[in-house]
Amino acid sequence: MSGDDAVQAKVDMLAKIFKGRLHVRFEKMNAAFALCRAGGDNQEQWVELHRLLHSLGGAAGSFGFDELGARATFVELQIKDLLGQPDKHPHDIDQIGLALAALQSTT
Amino acid sequence: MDKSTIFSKTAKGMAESRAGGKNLAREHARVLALVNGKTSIGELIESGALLDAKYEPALTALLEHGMVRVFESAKNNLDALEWRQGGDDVDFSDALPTLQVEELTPQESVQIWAQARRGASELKKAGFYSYGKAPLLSVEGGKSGLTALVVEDDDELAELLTVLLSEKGMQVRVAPDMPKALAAIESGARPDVVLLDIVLPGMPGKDGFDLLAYIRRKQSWAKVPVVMVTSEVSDDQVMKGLKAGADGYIFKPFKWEALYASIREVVGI
Repeated sequence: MSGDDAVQAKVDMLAKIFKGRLHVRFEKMNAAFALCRAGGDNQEQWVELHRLLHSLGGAAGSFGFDELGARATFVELQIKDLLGQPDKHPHDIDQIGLALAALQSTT
Repeated sequence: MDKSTIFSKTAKGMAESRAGGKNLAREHARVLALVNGKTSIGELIESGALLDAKYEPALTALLEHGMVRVFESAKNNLDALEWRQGGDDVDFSDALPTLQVEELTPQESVQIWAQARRGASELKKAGFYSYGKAPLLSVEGGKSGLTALVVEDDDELAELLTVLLSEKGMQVRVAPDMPKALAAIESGARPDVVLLDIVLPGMPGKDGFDLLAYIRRKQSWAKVPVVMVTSEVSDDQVMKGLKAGADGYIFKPFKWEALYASIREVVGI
């Protein structure tokens, strides 16, 4: 096996691990979203949810899962718009929930 | 008004200041001249430059007229102020809140925006953008044995970067959050290149740009090439990098070829 092949094999293995661990990312995102939905002073949870999606968006594409990365980035940007709003409209929050569920269903 | 607040001039304020404040009331012009993006209101009062009883109406008017903006409030930095590195007895309490900015003239602003726009466009096209090429083989010892600090909060992405950079003979250290990155900068050996994510956990309200500013202020690290890793391609982001002293940008999700090309360019290999 050449050096390039060996590296590619490692990268493929890491991509497989990434895919296998996606459920952990979604568990974290769903937990953060549940706290966001609970209301009250939860700006930190919105920031955390944004970070988790940002992380997924960047990582997925880098491992070759371009579509998942693009979809995650789309939801990330929706949350970014909401971050600046002190009073988030329930409809907007529902939309985020739907977008998260749709994202998870693609995996 | 919070006396820990630091104000800086806007482009409009700088133009007015250069014109001698002739369109402003005398006290307003005097306060505008004192605003410098570095010194808090409290410090200006303490030094005697501002009178405690008089500054507030002037600053309020300058804010209303768009001549100054709030640059930094210590209240926003409580997390940073109170942060302590557990176990290592390293105190960074004053590391990040004293971020300094260089105010630009309107002409410089136009030039830098044009450069930022070119950079963003290049970033979209090629996946990376560097502000300038380092001279070839500027690194001691040449191409082999380079060291890299990867500041990345995503474990799996950090592992991927480690595998890819190691394949090129680089020794890689990973810092997964702001506090650990600060600890690495404070106590670790200077690397040949830093790959710096922008959105990082650990210090609310702070991001990779604050770390970059810290690196540039630390004498022993000031000249380390820093490549910002971003998933946001905008003129504004590239502008921030230009002002903060980044050497390049790589778009995330990254392609390995683009990442390595950007490292080669900024390190000079």
